[in-house]
Amino acid sequence: MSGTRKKALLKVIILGDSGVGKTSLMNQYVNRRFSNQYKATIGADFLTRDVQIDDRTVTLQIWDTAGQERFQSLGVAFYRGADCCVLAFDVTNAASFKSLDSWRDEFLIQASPRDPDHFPFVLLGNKVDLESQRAVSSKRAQSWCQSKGNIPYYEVSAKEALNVEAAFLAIARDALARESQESNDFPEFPDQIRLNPNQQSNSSGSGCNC
Amino acid sequence: MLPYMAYRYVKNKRENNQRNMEENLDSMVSNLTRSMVPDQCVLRIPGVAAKLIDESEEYVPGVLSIVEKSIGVFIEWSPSEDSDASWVIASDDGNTETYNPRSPSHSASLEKTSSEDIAKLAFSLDVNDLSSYKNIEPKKGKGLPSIRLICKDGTSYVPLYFRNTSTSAFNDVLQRYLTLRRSNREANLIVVYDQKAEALAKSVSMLDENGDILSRFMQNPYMTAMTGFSKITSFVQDQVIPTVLDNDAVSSEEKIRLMRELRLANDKFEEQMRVHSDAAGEFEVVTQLELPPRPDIYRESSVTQQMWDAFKLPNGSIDPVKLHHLKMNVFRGGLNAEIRREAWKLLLGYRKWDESDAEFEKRKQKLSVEYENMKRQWSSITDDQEKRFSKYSKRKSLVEKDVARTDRTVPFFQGDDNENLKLLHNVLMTYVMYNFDLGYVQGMSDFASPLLFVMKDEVDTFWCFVGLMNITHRNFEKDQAYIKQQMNQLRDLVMIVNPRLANYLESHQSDDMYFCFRWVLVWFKREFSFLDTCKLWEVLWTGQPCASFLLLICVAILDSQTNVIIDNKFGLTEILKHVNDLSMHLNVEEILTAAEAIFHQLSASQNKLPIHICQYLNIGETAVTPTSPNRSFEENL
Repeated sequence: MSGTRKKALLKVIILGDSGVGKTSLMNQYVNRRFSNQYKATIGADFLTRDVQIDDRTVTLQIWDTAGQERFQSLGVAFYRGADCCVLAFDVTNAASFKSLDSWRDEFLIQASPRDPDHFPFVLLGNKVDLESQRAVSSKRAQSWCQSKGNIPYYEVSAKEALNVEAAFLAIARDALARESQESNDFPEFPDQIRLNPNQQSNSSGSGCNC
Repeated sequence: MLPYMAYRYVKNKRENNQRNMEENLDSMVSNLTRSMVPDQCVLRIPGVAAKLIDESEEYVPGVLSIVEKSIGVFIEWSPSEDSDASWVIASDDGNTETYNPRSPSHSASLEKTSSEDIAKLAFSLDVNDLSSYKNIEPKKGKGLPSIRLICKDGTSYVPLYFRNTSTSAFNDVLQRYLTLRRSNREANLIVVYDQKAEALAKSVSMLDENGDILSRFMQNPYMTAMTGFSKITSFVQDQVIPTVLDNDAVSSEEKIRLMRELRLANDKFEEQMRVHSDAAGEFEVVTQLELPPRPDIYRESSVTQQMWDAFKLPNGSIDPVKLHHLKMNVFRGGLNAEIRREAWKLLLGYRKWDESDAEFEKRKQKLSVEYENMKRQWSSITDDQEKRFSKYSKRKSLVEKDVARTDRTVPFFQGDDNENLKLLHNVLMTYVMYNFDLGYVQGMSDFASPLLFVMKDEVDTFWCFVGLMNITHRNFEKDQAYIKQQMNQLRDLVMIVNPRLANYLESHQSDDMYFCFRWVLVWFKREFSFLDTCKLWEVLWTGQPCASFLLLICVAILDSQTNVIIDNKFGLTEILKHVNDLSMHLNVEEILTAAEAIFHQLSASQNKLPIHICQYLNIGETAVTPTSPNRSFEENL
C-alpha cells in the first residue's frame, strides 16, 4: 500500500543571526508549536515534515544552525546538497537585517551550489507580532530582495504561527518546480532532488557516489 | 483545484517518464482510498508510559497502538486521557519510583508548559519509516520492558515503558507488516529487514562466492598497504558495482550500502587489520593492534563534607601529600552537592590548593574589588555611548539573547524577572570586559549557569568562570582550530579503540566527527541533566586519569552506539540526528565507567600505541610531567 509511495526530499537550510528565531520557525512549521524556552542552537539539527504538494508527497528536511558566525565553517558538510536556503532576520532588529548579505554570500561559498546565480533563496522577516518595535520596514526588505534577483519575501511570526505555513509551502512548491524544470533542461545531470523509491536513502551523505 | 490537478496530470503525462506517471496514479488512488477506508486499530496496549526528556524525568502514561490506515500502517502513542492513576516502577537498582501523571503540586504556570510537553510526546509513525528499535526485556523485578523506536532519518522517539505486559505482543503484530531481525551483535536491537536490499545481498554474496571479487581486492597486499580499506571499497563501488550489478530494481545507493555491509561482514579481515592515519596524515598505514579486554570499573560514592575535610590541614589548605588522593576520590565518585561550593573554587583554580583560609579570604577581597571595577566599566556605558561602540554593543546583545534562553527549565532560572538571570548577565558582561578580545561566544552561558547555580554569588561565579574559561576558551576562538584539532584526535582515538566504527564513519563521509561538536564545545552540557552535568564536570576538572579524558568520554558514547549506527546503516545526516537525540538519554555513571575502562585499555598498551595517541592522552614515554598542581589541571584539560 504505502510501499509504493514515492517521496521527494527537499533540503532546506535556515540561516541568519543569532536570536532571529531560526529554531522557533523550524519548530513552528514542523511541530506547530512555539516555546520561549528554546536554547541557543549549538551545532546543527534538522526536523522533517511531509507535505502534500498537488499530487506529490514531499519531505521537507529543515536544517537549523547556530547563528554565530564562527561556528559556520564546521557545519559545511550538512549544507551540501541544499535545495533552498531560507535567510531569516528579526524585523525588530536592524542589525540582523544588515547581516543578510554576508549570510547569503557565506552560503554560496560554503554550499557551493551548482548554479549560484539562480539558487533559490527565500527571505523571512520574523517577529512581526512585535509590530510596535519594528525596525525594518517591509518595503526595505522587499527592495533588498529585488536587488538579489527577486528573492521571495515573507513576513512571519513563529510565535503567532503567522504566515509560517504559507512560507514553507511556497518554498517547497518552488523547489519542486525547479526540480522538474531542471530535469527537463539538463536531463543528463543527476537530480538535485533525490527521488527515493523507498525513502530509505533520504540522507544526502550516505548516498554520495564519490 | 480539480481543473488544476487535471492540468498537472496531463502535463506530467506528456512531459515526464513512466515512473512519474505511476507516481501520480499511486497518489490519486491513495487519495481516493483514503476517503473510503476507515482506520483499523490492530493492536492497543494501554499502560505504556513515555519518559519525559526534561529535568523532571517524569513518566507519562499512555496508549501504544498499531493502526492500519488507507495510507499505510502506523505505530502510534498518545498520553492517556484518564491519567489520574499514578504508578510505580521498580528501577534497576531495586528502588521504587512513583510516577504521577500530573502532580497537582505544580504551579499554574508550570502546568501549562508541562501539558504542552506531554502533548509533544504523542506521535504517529509510518512503519515504513521505521529503521530499528531498542527492545529491552529486563528480568523480573529489574524494571519494566521498554522499546525505543529509531527512524530511517536517524530520529529516536521517546522510550516507552510497558507497565502490564511484555513487549512481545507489539513485536508479534509488527511482524505482520515488517520483517524483523535481532541484531547479531546487540541482542536489544531489533532491525527492520529490508526485503529488496536482502534479495540483493543474496545476489551479491553469490557473486562473491563465485567471483570472489572483494576478497581478491582485499588480498592484494600492495593495495591494502597503500590505501585505507574503505578506499578500496570505494574503488569497488565506483568500478565494480556498476558493471556487475546493473539491476534497475535497486538504486545504486542501495548497492553501495550493500557492498559496504559486505565489507563490514568480513570480520576476519577486520580483526586482523587495523587501519589508521599516521601522524603526518599523508598516507595511511596498516597496523595490527589488539587492545586488552576492558577491565571492570566501579564508580564510588560521592565525596562528602567529612571526607573532604579530612584532606585539609588545620589552616584550611589542602594537604599537598593528599592532593592526588583527593583528586582521585573526586574522579571516582564526584562531589556531594553540599561540598561543591567549596570544592569547585579549588578545582577551577579560583582558590589555590595550598592557600589557607586566611590567605584566600584576603585575596578574595582584592578580587572582589577587581570584579566591581570591571563591572562598572560596562554598566556605566550609556545608551548614547553604545551607539558609537558597535563591538561592545554586539557582544552585549548576544549576551542578552542567550541569558534569556539559558536553562530556563531549571527551577533556579525559571520565571519572568528571575533575579538569577540578572546575575548570570552580569557575570557574562563582566567577562566581556575581562577578555574583550574573546568577548562573548555562544556556549559560554552554558558553562556559566551551573557555576552560578552552585556558587549563588556573583563574584565567586565570575572568578570560577574565569578559571573554567582558562581551560575551555580555545573552544570559542574565532578560527575554531582547537575544535577541529579535538575532532581529529577523537577520530584517531576511535580508530584505535573501535576500528569497525571508525571505518564505517570514514566510508560514510562522517569521519570529520562533526556530530560530536556540541559534546566537545560545551562539555556535554546539552546531553545530560543539570545535575549530571555538574557531576561530569567536576570529574573532568580533576584532570584525572589522563589528559583529554573528555575525548575518551566521547569515544565511550560512540562505542556504545556502534551497532545502532551500523545496523541502521546510518549516513552522515542520520548519525547527526541519532547523536543529537541521545541528549538526556545517557547515563552519566555508565559513561564515566566505560570511558575509564577505555583509558585502562589504552594505558595498558601504551608502548604499542602510535605516538600521537600517547601525546593526546599525555601517557607513555612522551608524557610531560606537570610542574605544579594548578598547572597540571590547566594542561591536562
